[in-house]
Amino acid sequence: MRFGLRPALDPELDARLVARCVQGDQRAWSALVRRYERLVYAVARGYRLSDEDLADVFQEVFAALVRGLPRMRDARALCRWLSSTTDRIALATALRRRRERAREDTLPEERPELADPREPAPVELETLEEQTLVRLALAALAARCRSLLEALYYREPAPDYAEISRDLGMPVGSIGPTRARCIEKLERAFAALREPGPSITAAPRHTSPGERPPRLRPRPRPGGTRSLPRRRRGRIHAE
Amino acid sequence: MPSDRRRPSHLSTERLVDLLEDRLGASARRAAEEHLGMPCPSCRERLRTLGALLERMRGDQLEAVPEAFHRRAIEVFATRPAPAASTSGPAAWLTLAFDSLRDPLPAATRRAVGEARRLRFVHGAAAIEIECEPESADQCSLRGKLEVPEEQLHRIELRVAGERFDSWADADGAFHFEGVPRGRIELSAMGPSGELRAPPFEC
Repeated sequence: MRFGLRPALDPELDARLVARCVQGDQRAWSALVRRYERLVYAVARGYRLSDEDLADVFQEVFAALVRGLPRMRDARALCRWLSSTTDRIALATALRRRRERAREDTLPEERPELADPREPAPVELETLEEQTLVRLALAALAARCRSLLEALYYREPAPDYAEISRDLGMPVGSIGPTRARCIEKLERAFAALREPGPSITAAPRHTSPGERPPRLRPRPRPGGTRSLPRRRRGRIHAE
Repeated sequence: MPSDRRRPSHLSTERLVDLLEDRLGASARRAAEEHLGMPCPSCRERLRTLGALLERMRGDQLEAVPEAFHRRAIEVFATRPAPAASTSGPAAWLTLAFDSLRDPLPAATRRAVGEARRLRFVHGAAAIEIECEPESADQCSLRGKLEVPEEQLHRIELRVAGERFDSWADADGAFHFEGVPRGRIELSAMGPSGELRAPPFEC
């Protein structure tokens, strides 16, 4: 697939997709959903909800995103906002179900042990966010690199070089050097996605004559105190 | 003749990845480990970042989403309410409900919050709490919490000394800014139902 279409790395893609969604572009919305649906699904699944509740949470998060699109200005906030919002909605759903079950159980000794939905999940939000960004970076690589890295690191069980050679039509001896070059490209793409985000729209109402453009320094991080217990975030990665 | 204990060149990405994946022969592995043990901080750091990146891929837990879920996400866009004709409608002005300069805090609370000025603005069911604290003679930090009935994200905007800062409130409505020039601050919160503006205050 050397001559296949190569999706160029575009750190501003989210910004443009959001802007197009605001204008009512259904295809842009589909693309946006495809980019982040795995993240929303993974965060919600951490709460061990029923299939029905999981589907409701999933839909509710994207409904909230639709409502929030017109006000969204920062593309880089999207990934974090989606994971935080999913976490919040899934937690609320899990707690509600827990209360309902507790009310229904009249005999405490017969009450099944319910997993505490507030226990920290094994996978932290930040890890899922980073895995999402790595996937987005990977999607921006040329097909040859993408196929190779997917085969090496995403396939279970990991195939050996001989199998990869057969599958991708790549000499065994070139897998190592090609892998290294592809990883370097992936690193650059990943770093670009984590850099400070572009504005999603020009936001003309904020650029009156004589006014200086929005300042990038300091870039405040949303957050601070949290009133609800929820999944821990590890270190704060550079936005 | 100078003592020529030249520093070996840095380890290549290929070599580092081979090391991480245990694909090096014994002598190559020993040489790589000796280089890292010199120590070579830049190769160590590169080894760490490469290891983290590979771990993100190997540990990926982002499963494919069932098609039925995907369809539901697509449907919410098709059935969304028509967007408001304009987002530049009149802003709702919040009113000052509490100001620690005007209504001094009890001594114990004051000791806890230090020199921070605390303010609370309200408008109907919406409220914004602010805590602004001097960082230096000309800068301050500002922490706040937005309370609104809507679940959607809100953008918080500050204007001060001819500059504009913006950020997003998190899922709990919390936000903060650092390195804000001290002076008269105009703060507004923008969400799906419009804009909330606080009367200017000094920080």
